[in-house]
Amino acid sequence: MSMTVFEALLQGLLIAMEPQNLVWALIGCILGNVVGILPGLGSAGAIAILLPVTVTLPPTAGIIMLAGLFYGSNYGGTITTVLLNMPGEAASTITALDGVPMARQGRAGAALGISAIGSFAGGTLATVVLAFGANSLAGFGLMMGPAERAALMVFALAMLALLLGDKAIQGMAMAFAGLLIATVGIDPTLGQPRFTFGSTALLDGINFVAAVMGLFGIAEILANLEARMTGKMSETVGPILPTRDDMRRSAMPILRGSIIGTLVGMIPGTNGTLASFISYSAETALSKEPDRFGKGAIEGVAGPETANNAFANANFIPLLALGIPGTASLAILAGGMMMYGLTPGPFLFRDSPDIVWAVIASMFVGNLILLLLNVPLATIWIQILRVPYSILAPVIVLLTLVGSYSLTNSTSSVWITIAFGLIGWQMKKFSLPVAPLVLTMVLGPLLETNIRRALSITNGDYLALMDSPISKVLIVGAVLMIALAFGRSLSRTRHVAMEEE
Amino acid sequence: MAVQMGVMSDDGPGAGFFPLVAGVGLAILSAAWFLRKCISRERRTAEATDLIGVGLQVLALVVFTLLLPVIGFTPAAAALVFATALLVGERRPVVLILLAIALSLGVRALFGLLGATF
Repeated sequence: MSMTVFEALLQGLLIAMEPQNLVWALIGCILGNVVGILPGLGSAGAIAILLPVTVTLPPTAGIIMLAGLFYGSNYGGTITTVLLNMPGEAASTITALDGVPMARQGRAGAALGISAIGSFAGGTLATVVLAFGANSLAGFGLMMGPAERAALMVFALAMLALLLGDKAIQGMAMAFAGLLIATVGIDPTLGQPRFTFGSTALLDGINFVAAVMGLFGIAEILANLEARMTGKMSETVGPILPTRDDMRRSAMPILRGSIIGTLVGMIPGTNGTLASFISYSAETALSKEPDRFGKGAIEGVAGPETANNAFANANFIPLLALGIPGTASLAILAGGMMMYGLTPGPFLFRDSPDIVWAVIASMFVGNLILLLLNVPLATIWIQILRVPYSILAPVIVLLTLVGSYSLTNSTSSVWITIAFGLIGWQMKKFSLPVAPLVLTMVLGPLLETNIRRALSITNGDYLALMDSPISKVLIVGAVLMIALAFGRSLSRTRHVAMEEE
Repeated sequence: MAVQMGVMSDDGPGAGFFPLVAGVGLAILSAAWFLRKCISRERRTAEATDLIGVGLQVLALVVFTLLLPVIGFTPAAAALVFATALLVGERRPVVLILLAIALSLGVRALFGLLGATF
């Protein structure tokens, strides 16, 4: 490589600091914050809704904005969690354990302040690792052929099974459903139409973004309607800045949370909730006064909040280096990059270094923006909660359908959105996890292309797929994880059955 | 159906291969989930639900999509906003009308500015 990482990063920073890109980073961060605060709107749904808008921007600005939205939603999610015991984002759930008691003790301000500071520290450390580590991971990615890439995707999906816990069976079923949905349309190698039922609109396959907008946006609206969600909420906060004692107690949890979040974020198929959960467990285990946890210990807010933002930023490592989106949000972001003609993965650093490094550099800028926004402005963010749901719901519905329409400039994608809205609503009712479905809908075509390409190289010899040591390790690992996940799931079922008898 | 597509072709797996694998996997896991539900005899608790509201909301979405190509974006969007706000409990006529007008025009302007055509 002719350029050192440092030079590349510096050049990226110059591009990221261009006024236009700076403005879009700011817009992305603010939107991310809003999305995090708003119940019923996650970063995955928001990225999906905004995709059609952002493709009209130049690629660097568009990706910078969507990335800002993704990690920005972590900052916002904390606010509803701490104030209302209502996690705006799944990853903030753990924060409720100590954040809510803190708020009841009138220390909501300190909880929000330390979350913003921790998130900044975690995000920055993860981005440093991304800048200096992604490139070497990308080199590794280039050595991987179709068989190894397929093995890696199987590995990532298997990891998902393990982390789904007692939802392993449902989760894997959803993963297969996603694979099946992904096969609709023209077959990638032979050009044969599949499951199109004679419809020309389905020849291009199920529009992924339209489907996701239904699964998240519309499904949430329907579920809220069914539960008769109405009204609004408001509260007061108190001083935002943590005391010196708070800072002293939080320093080590923030450091540990940064490391945990970064490590978990590098593994595809994990999620921010896992990172914050590990961090919370670690802090409880390491604390000299574990009894304070669950009763308003600031360490229990600082650690997990740091970990989930470190996770979000580190999540870009597998995406940019290997082309593997670790979460639903990044899967959709990857879809957006493809709409620009950019394929996330090892070749990105070689083919479009200016865009990649500008995006990485913008993440440093974005985290700083979020710190500056959140510490002083937390009191203002809460005003959004005063917007009645009767105004929020029509906004979400209209934006979703219009966004879907603009994907194809026809109502065919809107029908897909509505259909998947119903599917998502039913999935919520049966507590079926959405993430595996979304992940395989994105990974499916890639997995299929790679497996079939590899199989045609080996003349259909399945065992030859595992010839290279990399594939062997990955496939054996995947099989072990799936066996473990199913073993756990089965023993839990037996447990439940025994208890009931 | 996947079998009809040809599971194997001359050079390795054919078009039906992947759908078959995915379909069989889905079937097995669904069966496993169903069995587990039966074994653990989990009972779903009855909650206060509003299925009529959900049905009307879906109807509003469908009507919007059908009307969009016929009467154009702004009126269709205004009708959708009106219906949705009504369903989530807004009852003041002035608020409903203002919301419908403001949102339909606002969203049109936002997407129009950013290059979408209707």
